[in-house]
This record gives sequence, C-alpha cells and structure tokens, in this order.
Amino acid sequence: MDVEEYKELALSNFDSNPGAFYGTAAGLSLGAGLIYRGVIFPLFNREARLFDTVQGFAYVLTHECDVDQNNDRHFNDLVVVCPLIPLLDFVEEYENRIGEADLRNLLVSVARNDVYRVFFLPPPPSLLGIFDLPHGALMYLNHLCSAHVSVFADGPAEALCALSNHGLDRLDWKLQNLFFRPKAEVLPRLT
Amino acid sequence: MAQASVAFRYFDGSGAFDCFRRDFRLQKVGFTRVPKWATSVEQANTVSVGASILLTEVRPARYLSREEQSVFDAALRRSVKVLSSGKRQI
Repeated sequence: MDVEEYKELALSNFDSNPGAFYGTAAGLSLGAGLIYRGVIFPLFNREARLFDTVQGFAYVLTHECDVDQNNDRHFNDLVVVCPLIPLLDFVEEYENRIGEADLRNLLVSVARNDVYRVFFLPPPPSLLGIFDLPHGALMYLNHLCSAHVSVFADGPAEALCALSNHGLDRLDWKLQNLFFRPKAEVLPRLT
Repeated sequence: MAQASVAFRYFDGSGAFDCFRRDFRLQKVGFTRVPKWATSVEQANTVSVGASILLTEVRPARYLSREEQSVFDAALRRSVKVLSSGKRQI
C-alpha cells in the first residue's frame, strides 16, 4: 500500500469531520490553536541518552493569553508544544519495521481514537494553500515538550493553519481523556 | 460504579448533528466549585457552585507495543532536522 491508501484508510475511519478541522492562521496569535513548521524542540536521543535539539512540525497547546508578549507578566516565555509526525514518515518507518497488516490495524485504531496516546490529524486542506503534511500527521501525546517564544516571534517557526473550533474540541477531548482520567491506583486520602 | 449506554447527539461542525450511542461509567456525583476566569483579584475570589455529574466514556483501548512505540520515535526523528546533538558534559 502507498501512503495515499493509508491516508484514505485513516480518513474513512476518522471519528470526526476532517473537512471541518482547520481554518486559516491569518490574524491568529501564538497559542490560538496554531500548527507550525520549523519549531525548535528537544528530542531524546536513545543512543546518547541525552536530548538533541531538532526542528520540525508542532502544534502549540499553550493558551494565547499566557504568552501574549504585550502583557508584562512572568512566565510567558515558554509554550508547550506537541511535535507532529508526518504520516508519510510514520508509514515508511512502520511498514519497513513491522509490516502492512499491523500498520493498517494501528491506523484504523488511531483514527477511531481507540489509542489514548496518539491523535490523528487529517491533512490540512490544500484550499487553504497549505501543502505541508499532505497525508496528515500523528501526535504522540506523551511527547509534549517546551519551545521558546522567540522561535515563533522572529524565529524560524511559521504558522501553517489553525485548528477550527471543532478540531480544537476533538483534540481537547483527547488530551482530557489522556491526562485527566481518574487514576487507577488509590491515592492517599488526606483531609 | 454504574455503567450505562447513553444516546446523545453531537454537533459535528459541518452544520449537522451526528447521533451516537456510547457506554459511560459514572465516576462521581456531587457539588462543584466553579472558579470564574479572573481578570481581577475580586473576581478570582468569586466562585459559583453547581451540581455535577462526572461521566467517563468506556471505550476499548488499543495499546501500543514496545516495538510500535519505538517506531513513533524513529518516525519523528526521520521528519526533523537535527540542529545540535547533546554531548555529555563531564
């Protein structure tokens, strides 16, 4: 199977409306649901057991009010980002290492949101003039990390598009389900 | 905890409602103290109180194997440009 077919497989199982997922980034501030290319973030190097500094696609989670540089506030210099894995890169890596049948199975589960830690982002519409991520991307939600605001202001990061209110609803639900579901173990009860 | 199948409608963003029936588990029933989003100290001290029901959706989870997890790492690495590699400081 080629990546187009995997994309179609994911979209046909996507538990949301991919056509209503994005809007233009024009006029929106850092933190207003934007997806960027060229974001600088840390990536753990398993061999060196240290973090590398890398540049790639990412979604910014931090609320725009918390990083508005016009507000004279403390703690507004970092944003929480989630790196995006282009579907093409994921497909090539997975198919080579594990195989087609398992990849089909995984993509169906991811698109249906049966995998808690992974979120499928459908491809941004070319109607918006966005040609990056043409097959969509995966967000590995345990990979949240920080990036500095200077990367976005005058730095190399460039906004591609924004999630729509519908897209943001779905992602927020996913994040809430992953991070805020009740703990399975009994916590110490203090009163 | 009680579990029930609940039918509900979800506005899917395209101007239409989708209908679902999904399983939910009742986690908690109680009163909630809802802080208002504050723009002043006075507002920050204002709270409203309401009844709440916390439901969590019961869905079959698909877990990732270790090998699959390592694919995510390798695929992300494939998609990025490495600007600097961490060197161990002694």
